[in-house]
Amino acid sequence: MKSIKTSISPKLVALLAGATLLGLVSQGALALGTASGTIISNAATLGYSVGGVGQTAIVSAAATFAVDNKINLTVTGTGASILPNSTNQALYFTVSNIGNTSQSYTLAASINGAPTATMTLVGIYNDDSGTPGTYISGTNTVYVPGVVTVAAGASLKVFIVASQTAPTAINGQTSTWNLLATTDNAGTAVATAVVANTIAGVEAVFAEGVAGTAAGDGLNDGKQSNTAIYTVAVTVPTVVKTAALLCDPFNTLVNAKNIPGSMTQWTIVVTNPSLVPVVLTTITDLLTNTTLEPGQVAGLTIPAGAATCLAGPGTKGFKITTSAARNIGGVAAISTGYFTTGVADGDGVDSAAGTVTATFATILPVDAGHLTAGVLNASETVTLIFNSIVN
Amino acid sequence: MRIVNLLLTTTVLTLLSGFSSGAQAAGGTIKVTSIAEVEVTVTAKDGKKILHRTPVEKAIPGTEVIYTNTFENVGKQAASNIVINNPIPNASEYKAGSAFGRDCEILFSVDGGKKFGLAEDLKIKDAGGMERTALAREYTHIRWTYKGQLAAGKSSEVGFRATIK
Repeated sequence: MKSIKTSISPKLVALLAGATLLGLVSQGALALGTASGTIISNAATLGYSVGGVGQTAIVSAAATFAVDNKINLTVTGTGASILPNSTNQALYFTVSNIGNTSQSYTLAASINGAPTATMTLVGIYNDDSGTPGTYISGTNTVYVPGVVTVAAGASLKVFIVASQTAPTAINGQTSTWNLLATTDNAGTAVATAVVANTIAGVEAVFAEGVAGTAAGDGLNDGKQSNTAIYTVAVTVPTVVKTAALLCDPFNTLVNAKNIPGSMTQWTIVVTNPSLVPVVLTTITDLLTNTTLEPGQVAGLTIPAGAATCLAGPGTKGFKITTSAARNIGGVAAISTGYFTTGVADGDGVDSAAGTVTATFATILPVDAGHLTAGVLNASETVTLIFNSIVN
Repeated sequence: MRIVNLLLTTTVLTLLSGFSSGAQAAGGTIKVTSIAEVEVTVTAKDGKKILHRTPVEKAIPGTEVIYTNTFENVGKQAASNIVINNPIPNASEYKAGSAFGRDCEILFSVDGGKKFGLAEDLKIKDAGGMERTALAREYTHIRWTYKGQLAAGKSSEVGFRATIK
């Protein structure tokens, strides 16, 4: 059986081991081009005759030169949606070595432009939480320049971590951050220097070809930068309102028409479509050319007196239902979900000047599954129902 | 030990220090010199940009290198049947259409110099066994056959371009 022996320098072993142990560098990509230090050689062989007699062929002395250290890298970033007042939020960056030599990088984070959401840098962290691409505060370690060596064709993955310092951010506000990578001599935090190129030596050749987004990142300078954006994404509930004609004074229940005196049942469904809870405040509904029927919607049937399509005699003119089992009701502990619509009755549902107002903190109180008054958990709905009569 | 190291260093430097070098037949008839250069754009005094050839000081993947072999008859008799073989340099790919040589027939090889032919006649079998015309980057050798005789004191040159992989 044949055995193959390979040799590798102790320094290189140490560098590779460091990178492997930390799990910070993704391998797998092929080296991009001929490795630096390779000697390229060219020689020609010439055969000829003199006086019709073949002569010994001549081989020219080789013309040789060394392949230099091509420094080329890319930086790409992935943005993140954040909630207001959130801390330790991460932007994910990949620094790829697309040169022909192993490199190390010094990384710097900076704000790009004028942000509308105020964020303060926490630090730059390694992608070493155990779940690639996931930052876990207190688990990921701080990125230290000079520790990780990135082989040609491999990538370094890190996080910029920042916290919101002005929790008044509203939906859609942003904060854009640069990650600037500066090429260092492999295994060090010493920036690669430009020296005069020679035929036989291996010198650095900056070849990024494009300027990045960060200040001080120009063309072919061994640096590259790119941005990623924090976007404040407040959960926006959806509201859908539908109408159902119940009766009119002439046709009563059969073939009712939308005519003066007819009664309509309105259903408003509020849904939290997100994966996080949202706290509702109020919902108002201005009734136009129609008047709230304050009688009752009990059982969601035609109210009493519907044979002539008149307002019912009761006082339960408003009903609340929820998709999740939870406490419903205000001061009167309205476990059935029916509410009176008088002003200042304290049950969370009021009607004044043609406007119906529901206050969710009252009608959706705290319970075991809902620790904040008015909260609507992920995917939950709350439905509001009332009747009105066309003027 | 230090002397050995010094000798080794000197040898390497000698090999690498020149981008051009020459060889001469023992009989002293033909001298062959090979050089490697790159083209750079420089601005002339009149402001025009011109291409200028320089030694290969910056060499990175993607660099196009111009290789030139100059052969000179330093003897007293004319030389004939001049044939120059040049393997494509290591870690390099021949640039299509770049081979040059006045009064020469230029042929290529894709099998390590066993057989030579015109570019359009060179065939390669792919992994599926299908035959196709070889790509320039698959050439392994170039051969120039000089037509006629090279008179005493005369010289000529042949060459090509190749890109560092």
